[in-house]
Amino acid sequence: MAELMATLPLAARGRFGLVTLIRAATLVLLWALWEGAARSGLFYAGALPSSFTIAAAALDLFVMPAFYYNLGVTVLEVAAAMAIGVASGISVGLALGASRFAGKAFEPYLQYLAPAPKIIFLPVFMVMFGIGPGSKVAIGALSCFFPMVLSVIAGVRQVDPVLLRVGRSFQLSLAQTVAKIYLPALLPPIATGLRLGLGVAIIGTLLSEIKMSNRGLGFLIMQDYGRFDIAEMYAVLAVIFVLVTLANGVIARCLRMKGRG
Amino acid sequence: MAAIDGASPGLARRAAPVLVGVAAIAVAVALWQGAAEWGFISTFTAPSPSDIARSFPALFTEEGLVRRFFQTFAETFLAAGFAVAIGIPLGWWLHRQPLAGLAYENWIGGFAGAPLVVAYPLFLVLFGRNTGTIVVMSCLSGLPAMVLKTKEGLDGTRRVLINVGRSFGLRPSAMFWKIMLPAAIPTIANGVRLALIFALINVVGVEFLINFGGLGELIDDLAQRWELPAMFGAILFVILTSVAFFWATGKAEKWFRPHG
Amino acid sequence: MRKIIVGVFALVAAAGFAPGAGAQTLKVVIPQKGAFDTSIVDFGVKQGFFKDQGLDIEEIFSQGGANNEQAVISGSADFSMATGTLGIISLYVKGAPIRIIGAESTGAPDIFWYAKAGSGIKSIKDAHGKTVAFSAPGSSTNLVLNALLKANNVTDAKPTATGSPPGTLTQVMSGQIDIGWGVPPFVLKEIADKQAVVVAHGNDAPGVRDQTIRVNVVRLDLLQQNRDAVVRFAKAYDKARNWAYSDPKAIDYYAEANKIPRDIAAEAIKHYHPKAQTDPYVIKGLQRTLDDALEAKRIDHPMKPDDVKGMIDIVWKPGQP
Repeated sequence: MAELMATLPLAARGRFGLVTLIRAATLVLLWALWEGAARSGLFYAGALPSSFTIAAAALDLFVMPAFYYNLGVTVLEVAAAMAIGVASGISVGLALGASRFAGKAFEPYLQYLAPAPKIIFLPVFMVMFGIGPGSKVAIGALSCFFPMVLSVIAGVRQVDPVLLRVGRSFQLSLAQTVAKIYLPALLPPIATGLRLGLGVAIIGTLLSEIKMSNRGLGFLIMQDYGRFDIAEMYAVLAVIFVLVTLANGVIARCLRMKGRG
Repeated sequence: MAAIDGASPGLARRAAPVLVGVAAIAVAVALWQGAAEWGFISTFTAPSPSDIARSFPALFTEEGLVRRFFQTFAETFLAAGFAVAIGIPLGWWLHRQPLAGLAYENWIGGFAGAPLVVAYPLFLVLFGRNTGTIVVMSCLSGLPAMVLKTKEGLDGTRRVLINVGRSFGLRPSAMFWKIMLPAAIPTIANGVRLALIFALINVVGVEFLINFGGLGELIDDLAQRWELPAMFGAILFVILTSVAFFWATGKAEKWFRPHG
Repeated sequence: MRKIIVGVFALVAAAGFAPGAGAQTLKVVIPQKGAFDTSIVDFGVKQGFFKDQGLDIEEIFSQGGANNEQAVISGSADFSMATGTLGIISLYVKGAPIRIIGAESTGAPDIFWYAKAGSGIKSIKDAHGKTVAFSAPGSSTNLVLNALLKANNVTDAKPTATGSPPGTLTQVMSGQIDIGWGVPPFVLKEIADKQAVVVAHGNDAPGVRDQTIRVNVVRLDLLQQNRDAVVRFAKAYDKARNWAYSDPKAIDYYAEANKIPRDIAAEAIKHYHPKAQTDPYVIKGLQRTLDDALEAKRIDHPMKPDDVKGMIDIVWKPGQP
C-alpha cells in the first residue's frame, strides 16, 4: 500500500483523493465495458450503441427546439403535481397528525395504500381526466401525496407540546397556530417528504407520458422507441437521470441553507 | 388543534376511531353508488361499486386471477432473491473495504432514487418482452436497499462484541459468522423486506406497462378491453394484496429483531 | 407564493388546453407515428387541407389500441384513427359513445413476418416448431397469424406475444424468437441489407385481404352536435389521402419522419401501402370480424352485421356536396 501511495500524485494521496481516484477509475472501467459490449456483437447492433453514438445523439438533442418544448411540458406537469401533492399532503398530514382520533381512524389506510404501485391507477385517471396533462398531473400528485402526508403526520406528533401551549396562551387562531408553530417545526419532515415526493412524482409523470401522451420527455422516449432510434432514446434517458439527480441535489442544498439560516 | 389525550381508553374508545374510519369508507362507497344509480356519474366510465363487486367471481373463473397472483409473486420472489444474492456479498465487500464504501455508497444511494422504471423500453429492446425483463428491472430496484442495509448492519456491529471476539482470538471468518453476521441480521432482514417491497411494486408496475405477466398485465388487459368493473376489481385486488404483503413482511421482519 | 401557484396552473392549462384562434379545433389521436397509412392526417395538416375546411387539427400520437379508445371515450380526443375494428365492436356493444366514420385499413398488406437471414426459414411453411411473433393477444397481428398458420397447416408453431416492432426486431436478431412481425418502415433496411428475409405477408392469410381490420372513429356527441365539422374532416381526409398517393412530397415526408433513405420509403409505400388498402368508404368483411370478436371474447354472443349497423356512419363520400 505504501508503494502504491508513493506512485500517486500528491493530490491523490489523501483519503478524499483516493476516493476520487477510485470513482474515476470505476467510471472508466464501466465505459470500457460498455464499449466492449457494444462492439462485441453479443447484442444486436441497434440495441446497444457505442457511447460515441449516444453522445452524438445527445448533442443533436440539445439543438432540437422540440427537446426543450417537451422538457418544459414535463417540468410543468411535475411542478403542478408537486404543488397539488405537497399542499394536500401537508393539509391532510396536519389534520391527522394533530388529532389522535383522526389519526387512528384514517392513518392505517394511508400506511397500507402507500406501497401500492400508483401506475395501476393510470387507466382510471385517463378516463377521469383525459389523455392530456390532467392525467399526468393526477398520477404525479397521487404519487407525491403519500410520502408527504406520512412524513408530516410523523412530524406533527413530534412538535414540542410546550410550543403549542405557548400558542394557546397567546390565544393564537387556528391559522396562526399552523403558520407560526406547526409549519416552522415541520420543516425537516416536509423537506424529507419533498425529496421523496419529487422522485416518485417524476416517475409517475414520466410513466404516464410514456403510456399515452403527445408531449413531454416520456413521449420523446416512446417516439424514439417506435422509430428504433435507440441512441437518441439513451440520450433522453441520460438527460432524465441527470436532471433528477440535479433536482434532488438542488432541493437538498436549498433545504440545508434554509436550515442554517 | 390540540392533540386529544388518549389516556386509559376503554374498549369502546379504542374501537371508536377504527369504526369511524370504516364508516367513512362506507359512506364514500354509498355516495359513489348513489351517484352512479341516479345518473350523476356515467357508469360507462365510472362503474358503480355494486358492478365492481359483481365482477369479482369472473376475475377468478375467467381471468385466471389465482394463476396471475402466483405468477406475480413468483416474479417478485425471484427478483428479490437475486437482489439478496447479489446485495449481501456486495454490502459485505463495501463494509470490508472502507475506501470502496466511501467511494460507492453515495452512488448506490443515488441509484436507489433513479427513475429506472422509465427506462423499460430500453429493457424491452435488450431483453425482450418476457419474464426476464420484469425480473431484471425489479431486481435492480431492490438491490440498492439490500446493499446499503447489509453494509449498515455490518458497520453497526457493537465494538464491545468485536473486542470480545478478539479477546477469544477468533479468526476473521469466525468473527464474521459468529459475531458480525448475527448482529447484522435484524438490519439485513429490514433490507430483505425493502427488497421484497420494491420488487413487488416494480413487478406489478412493469407487468402493467409492458402488458405481460400476472396481476399488472390483467389490469392493462381489462383496461384495453374496457372491462371497467373488472378493472377496478383487479386494482382493488392488487391493493389488498400489497397491504397483505406489507403486513406479512413486517411481521416476518419483526421475528428477526432482538426481543427484550 | 399564491401567485406562483396560480401561474403554474395557468401554464399547465395553456400547455394542455390552448384553443386555436378562429378555426374549429379538433383533437385527433393517431397511433404508430410515422407509419404511412396513419400519416394521412399529418400530411393533410402539413398541406393545409384541414385549414381549408376551417379546421385546426391537434395531433395526439399514441401507442394505439385501447389508448386511442380511451382518448375518445373520455372526451380527450374527437377522432381516433386506425383503431382496431375488433376493439370498436366490443365498445359499441357495451354502449360506448363512438361511431365509425370510415375504414382505415382493409386487408393487412402492411403487416409481414420475417426471419433472420441464414436461419433456414424462408416461408411460413417452415414455422413448424418455431416461435412466431405477434404483438399482443387479440390484436390484428394475432388474428392474421392464426389465419396464416391454419392456411399453411402449421399446427405446431409457437405463437408468442412480443409487443411492438422494435422489441420484436432485437428478439429476432438476437435469436430469442425465430420469426418476427413488422410493419414498414421497420426491418426494411435489414431486408435491403440481406440481414432478414420476409417469410409471409398479412394478405397471404385467406379472407384477410377483404376484411377491414382498422377503422377511423368519432365521438358520438361531436357527430350529433356538429356533424358539419365531421363532414369537413372527412373531406379534408379524402383530399389528403389522394395527395399522399399522387404527390412525391409524401415520400419525402415519410422518409424524413422515419429517418430512412428515400428509395426505401418509396418501395415501402409501393409494396406495403397500396391505395386500395386505405379506401375509407366501405367496411368489408364485417361478419368475419364479428366472428373474430366472439372468438377473442370481445363479445359474448354471436352477432350479425345488422346487429351493429348503427355503429357505422360514413358521413361523406366523394361526389356528395
